[in-house]
Amino acid sequence: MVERTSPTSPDQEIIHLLEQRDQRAVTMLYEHYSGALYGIILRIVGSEVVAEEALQEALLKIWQKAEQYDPEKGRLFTWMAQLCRNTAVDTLRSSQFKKGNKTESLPDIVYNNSALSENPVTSDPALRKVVGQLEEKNRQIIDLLYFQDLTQKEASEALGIPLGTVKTRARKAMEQLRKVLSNELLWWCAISLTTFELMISYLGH
Amino acid sequence: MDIKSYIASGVLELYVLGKLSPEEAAEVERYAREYAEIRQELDATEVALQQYAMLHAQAPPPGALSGALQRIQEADKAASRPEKPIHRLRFLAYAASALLVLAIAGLLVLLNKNQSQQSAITTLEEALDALGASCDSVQANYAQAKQEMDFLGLPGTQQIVLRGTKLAPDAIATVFYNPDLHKNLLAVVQLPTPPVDKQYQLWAIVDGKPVDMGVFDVDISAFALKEAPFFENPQAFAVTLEEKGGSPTPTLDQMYVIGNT
Repeated sequence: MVERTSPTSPDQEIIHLLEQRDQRAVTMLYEHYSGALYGIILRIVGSEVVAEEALQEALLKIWQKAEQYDPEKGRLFTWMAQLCRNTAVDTLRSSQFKKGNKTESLPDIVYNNSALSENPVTSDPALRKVVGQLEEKNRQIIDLLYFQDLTQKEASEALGIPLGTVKTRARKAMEQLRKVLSNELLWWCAISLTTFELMISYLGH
Repeated sequence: MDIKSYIASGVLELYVLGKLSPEEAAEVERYAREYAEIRQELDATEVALQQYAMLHAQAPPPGALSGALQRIQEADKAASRPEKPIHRLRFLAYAASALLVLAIAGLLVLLNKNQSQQSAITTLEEALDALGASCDSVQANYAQAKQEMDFLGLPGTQQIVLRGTKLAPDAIATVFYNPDLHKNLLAVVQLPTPPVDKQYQLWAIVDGKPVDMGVFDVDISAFALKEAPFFENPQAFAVTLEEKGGSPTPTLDQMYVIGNT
């Protein structure tokens, strides 16, 4: 069984700080998760300017809605990622609204995005290795549901598969992803990579 | 229930991905509490997706954190701000109520003051009226007294003293007689108080006959002069006590004072 919060996980402390309404919680979760959250947001909005706006908005929401997070129901990251996806979609919609693209419906934008095409972040060797081991249709379904935040119905339309198949395909995709990840033992690599990237970005500026 | 097929259905993956309706999600949460296997499967899915997301991590632009913290501080400030206007409003309400109470109290005091002032003014006005009236009467009295003094001081005015008879030896009255002005004034100095049904009557003796000069009341307290009808060449004046209203002829045995000119 996977530990809900492993000893090395900062979640417990972040949750504690959030409960105390201590703003260091935001700094701490930013250190650990901003890269992953920003990655999700960037995949949805497709623009770094809009993505930064959405990330800041999402962090504000995490701070404001912290008491809605229930550790019994799932991991902190799952909750934060969901908030980020919702915020990214909202921000994308309002940024398009501001530009005057009111007639352009959201799913078109999403479908036109990078989800179905080649993964845009393949420069990372670890990611390339994992993604390379995933079947294309499994990668697609995860991207659509997780990174694009499409509904089951939107995903079925995007992939041209029956609505009932989305569930089972998501199951199969996740099984494969878990297998690949456990094989590669990439969990710690991912953390160190994220931390490393953050350090680079701080030192760089 | 068949836990294995429930897990295999993919509903847990959709739960972690946030694709279930609130009802479906609540069902998953209920099963997760009941069945350790389901809880475990959810955890594994969450960890896998978190790891996958970590792999997709992209460094956010520098300044994103400070921007976010600034937003949080502004939002917290804005969230705590609405309380202030309420306090301010409440304070204003208190202040307004206090002012209102003060204003009403002040008004009442002023009204009260005004009322007492009004009554004082009324009292003063009444006193002034009374003073004016008494002033008028004093002036009238003075005018009359002056007129009488002037009359008494005239060279043509003769003083005839009427002295008491046996009936009242101490009685005394005076008639001031001025033939130039055809005017008589009677001054009663001392006369016994008459019975209730009687009145004193003044007479002039002209050519040996008594002539009626009218009845008069004796007011001891006021030394007032009483004007009486004038007759030429009176030899004497006399006062008798008669029935109330007077008598055509004097009752001689009731003569109290008499004086010759």
